[in-house]
Amino acid sequence: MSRLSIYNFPSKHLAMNRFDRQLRLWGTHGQQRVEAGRVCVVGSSALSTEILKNLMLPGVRDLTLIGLKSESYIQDQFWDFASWNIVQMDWDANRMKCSKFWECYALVIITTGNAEVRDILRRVRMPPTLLCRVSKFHGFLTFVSSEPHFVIEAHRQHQTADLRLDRPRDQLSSFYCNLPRDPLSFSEWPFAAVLYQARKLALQEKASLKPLNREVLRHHISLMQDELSKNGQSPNLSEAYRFAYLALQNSQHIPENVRECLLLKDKPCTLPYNQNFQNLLRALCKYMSLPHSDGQLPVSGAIPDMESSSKIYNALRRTYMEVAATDASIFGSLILPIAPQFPLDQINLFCKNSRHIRVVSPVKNISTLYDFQGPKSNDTPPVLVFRSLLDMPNDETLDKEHRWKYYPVISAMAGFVAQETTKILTHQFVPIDNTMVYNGMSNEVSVFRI
Amino acid sequence: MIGSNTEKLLGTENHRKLRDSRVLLVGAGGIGCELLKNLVLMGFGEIHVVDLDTIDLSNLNRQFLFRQRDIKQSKATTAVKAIEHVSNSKLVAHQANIMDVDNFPLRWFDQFAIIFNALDNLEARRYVNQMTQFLHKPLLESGTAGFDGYIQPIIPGFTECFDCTTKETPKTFPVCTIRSTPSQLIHCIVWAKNFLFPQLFAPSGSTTTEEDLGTNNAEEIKRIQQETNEFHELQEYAKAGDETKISDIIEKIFVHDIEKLLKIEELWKIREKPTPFYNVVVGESLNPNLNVVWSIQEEANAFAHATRKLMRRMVVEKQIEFDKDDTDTMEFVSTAANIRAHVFNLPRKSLFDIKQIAGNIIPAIATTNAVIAGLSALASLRVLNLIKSKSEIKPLELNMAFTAKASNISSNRYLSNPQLAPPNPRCPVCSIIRGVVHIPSSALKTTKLSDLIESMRDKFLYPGDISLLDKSTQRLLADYDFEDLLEKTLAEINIKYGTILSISDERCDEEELRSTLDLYIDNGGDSSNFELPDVEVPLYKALKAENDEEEEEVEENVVQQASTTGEIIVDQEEKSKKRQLDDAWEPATKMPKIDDDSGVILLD
Repeated sequence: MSRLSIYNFPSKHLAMNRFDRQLRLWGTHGQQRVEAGRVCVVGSSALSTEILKNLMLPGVRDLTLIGLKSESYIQDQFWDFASWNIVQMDWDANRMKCSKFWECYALVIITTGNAEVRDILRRVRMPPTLLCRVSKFHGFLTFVSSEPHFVIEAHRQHQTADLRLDRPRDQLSSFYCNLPRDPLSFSEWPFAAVLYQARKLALQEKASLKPLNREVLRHHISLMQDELSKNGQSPNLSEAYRFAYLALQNSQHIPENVRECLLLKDKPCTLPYNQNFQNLLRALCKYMSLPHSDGQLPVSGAIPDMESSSKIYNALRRTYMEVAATDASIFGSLILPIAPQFPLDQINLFCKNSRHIRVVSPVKNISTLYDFQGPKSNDTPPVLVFRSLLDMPNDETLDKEHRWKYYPVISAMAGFVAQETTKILTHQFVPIDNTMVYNGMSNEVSVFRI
Repeated sequence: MIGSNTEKLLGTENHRKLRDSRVLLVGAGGIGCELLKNLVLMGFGEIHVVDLDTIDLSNLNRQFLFRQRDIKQSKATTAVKAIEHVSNSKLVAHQANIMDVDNFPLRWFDQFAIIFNALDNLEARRYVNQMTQFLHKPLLESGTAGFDGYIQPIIPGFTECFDCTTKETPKTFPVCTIRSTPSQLIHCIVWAKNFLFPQLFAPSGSTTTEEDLGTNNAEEIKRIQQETNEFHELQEYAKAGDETKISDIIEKIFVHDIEKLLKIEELWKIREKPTPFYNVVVGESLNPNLNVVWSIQEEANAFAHATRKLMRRMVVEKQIEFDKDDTDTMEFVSTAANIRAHVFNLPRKSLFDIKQIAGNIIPAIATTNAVIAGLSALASLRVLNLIKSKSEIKPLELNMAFTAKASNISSNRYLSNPQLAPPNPRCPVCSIIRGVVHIPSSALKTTKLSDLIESMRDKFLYPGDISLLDKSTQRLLADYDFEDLLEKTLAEINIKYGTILSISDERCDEEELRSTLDLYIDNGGDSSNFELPDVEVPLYKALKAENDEEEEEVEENVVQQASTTGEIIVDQEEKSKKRQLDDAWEPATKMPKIDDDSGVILLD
């Protein structure tokens, strides 16, 4: 279906558009995924209505609500379903027992404990699914999918700078070696250059008998400070002192999160996103075996701000960007034979984030969930809460006393569910891995894996 | 339906209490809309909503009670209208500033069982916090920034208050860095937004010649002052709407002014010299993509384009204020900042990124607000002890809550819920003894300051030298060698309802001193005279001067500890940022601020 996207409008509209505040979290490419993701919510209740609202607001355009006839939930009038464009339909076991029915959805959210729904859906091949329930004070949320969930942009809060000072690409080492060398100009060097120099001096001096460490590097930084001026601290040299550990990184080390992804590169997957991602992983393997890569992941190109003359800093930044562009273009030449016409922006995004890619392993299918008994002997309270919620019959079979729920608990749980939904749709940020239990009595959230 | 549900959950007795409760919600924005819905569906008897703001397009990604057609309408009124037809509660909307003493005197706050803060700025948060400290009212503080959010119940006298931990204040820069020696893009943005823009389009924002410029270089000071005067000519162009002068404006600010700076050689001994933006020929082509860094020619074209549009508007509007959501002003500031960055060899950024910095935009999404509003509403039942199956909860057994950055979930910290800390004994707000002075308005005109002081001395036992401060305006009213105002009446020296007076024991060489007392001046009282509150002001051990330094250190430790309470999500480096959380932090006032006294420019 072709839709008039807000992004096709001239820039002025983008500048003032209603999604400005969230574009700052996941970018226009993330927003496009949010808007394109079709989501189906099963079960009609205050919880599902709140979830729909929380998905309509950030811009999910294609929402379906499947209600059960037995449900008595009355939609309050301020839930303006008409203006939200929600497709409403009734549960129809005949139609919904085929996987064909479900495959158009990017995500299905099951909010009901209805026995028929459960028994049918555990036998159907489902798209990625979130299963959730609330009782009076508690709630849980589980991510179910037969395929792994890959993330390129994990948006880690703390990232170490990607400087490659131990094994710089030629372009970088020649940049560092060609800086003006007189002691007075040390004060203009960005700390990365100071660290490169300190590292070089330390290695020359020690004939690499003992391993390099921070103390040795810091010693050489102090010597540079002394050459510059005996009294006072040059701000760039203090930065180098503080970030000395960045000169000790092993650039050939492949982080655990990347290796976990690589293990899955040939696992059979049917989701288009996963197939794309696996192509990137295959290209990454090839890339790593090229002499050019030197066993290092592609350079990200981004460097932190540094105290230095702006001229040198700009030149340094440019050099890192050029190196990253070269890596990305070589990477691109490897993926094209595997997947012709692979979009360039995705290649660049992947190369830029290659150290931070992540995989989450959801619960394989709904049956696994229901078969999960937990560690019987020493059940921790969150697992007990989870089991009781999972086994809790649907509202219509409960007596009245047990149907009542605290509205704030519903509101918070619906927030959690929609939050995970946006992460799953955008493939940005790391979604729940893979089960979360909220205890409204103690206000605690526990996360565990099934 | 709403009522019966809650009755079952809370029990008849507690439900009746809930129905009898009047609550205050300050803010009808991201958290506010969600919270209002929760409070209505829980069935609180009466809910007052205060918000000064109007609805903006960029609110609609999260504030679900508003629609496109509501843009420019009052948030408080619209929110109440959108929900009242399903509500069993009495709803009252106030489109007003919560800090407006005439609308909301202290006693007005006293009618509420609990107050919910769903605010977007530090100033109002601090104000409401202070009011709740005067009244000993429970306060539920909350805020979000992107995926991060927090709630903090505050029980005055028992738990930490909002000001017990230090909060991040706006960044400031020396005037000289902004005006003559920028070394980062942000300096250029501040220059464009807080200096250049108001100089051209909001000429009321005057810059005094007496300000502290943060430099001792006489030549530089002289140049900065000259430059200010020269801008009068440009203002005239802007006012007259003479579009042929646009190239002169560019020439003046990006060539001539830079050349004049270059003549001050002292400045460039340790800095890289700027390069004037020579020979600019403005073209027509504009880059429509706001997410990329434009070429310098495109910046110049867009600068001219935005200036032209603003000049046309000036003819009608007379004065234009910077607003990040006003495309013309945003484009002007962004292009001016980028051209200046080009001149000073600094990296440039896209308009989208500059908007975030200039507008101090904090990312905001519906989901975090839903979570936080849910947690806040539930916490209120705990604070009010309305949960049926629970025995009474003591204040220090209550929890605050932080939701973690999405990417930190792997560490099982989706939400952390540390128990509340006791009040910080050195908190500048809640460690102070407080009371309310009731005084009929006629007595304001007849009571002399000396009468009030003498009564305070007698009642609260301040036998020797004292000082009296008007805290609202930070002005000294009386001390041992300032007695000029003593014979004036309270009205004459502008003491009115809402004024907070602070009396301190200033005796020297005493081992024990009386604590400082803050008194809120409010209407009321039965007699024709003023009535002092019945509070006991304790003594404290006076500190010798030489101990002061040591104490400072201790203080820092205390504050540090307090701010790390339960802090598991955010690690060391990020600590200072943690309390910057806000519900789409938007400055209370959109006026550019140039702080004349301190010689720094505030990036608000």
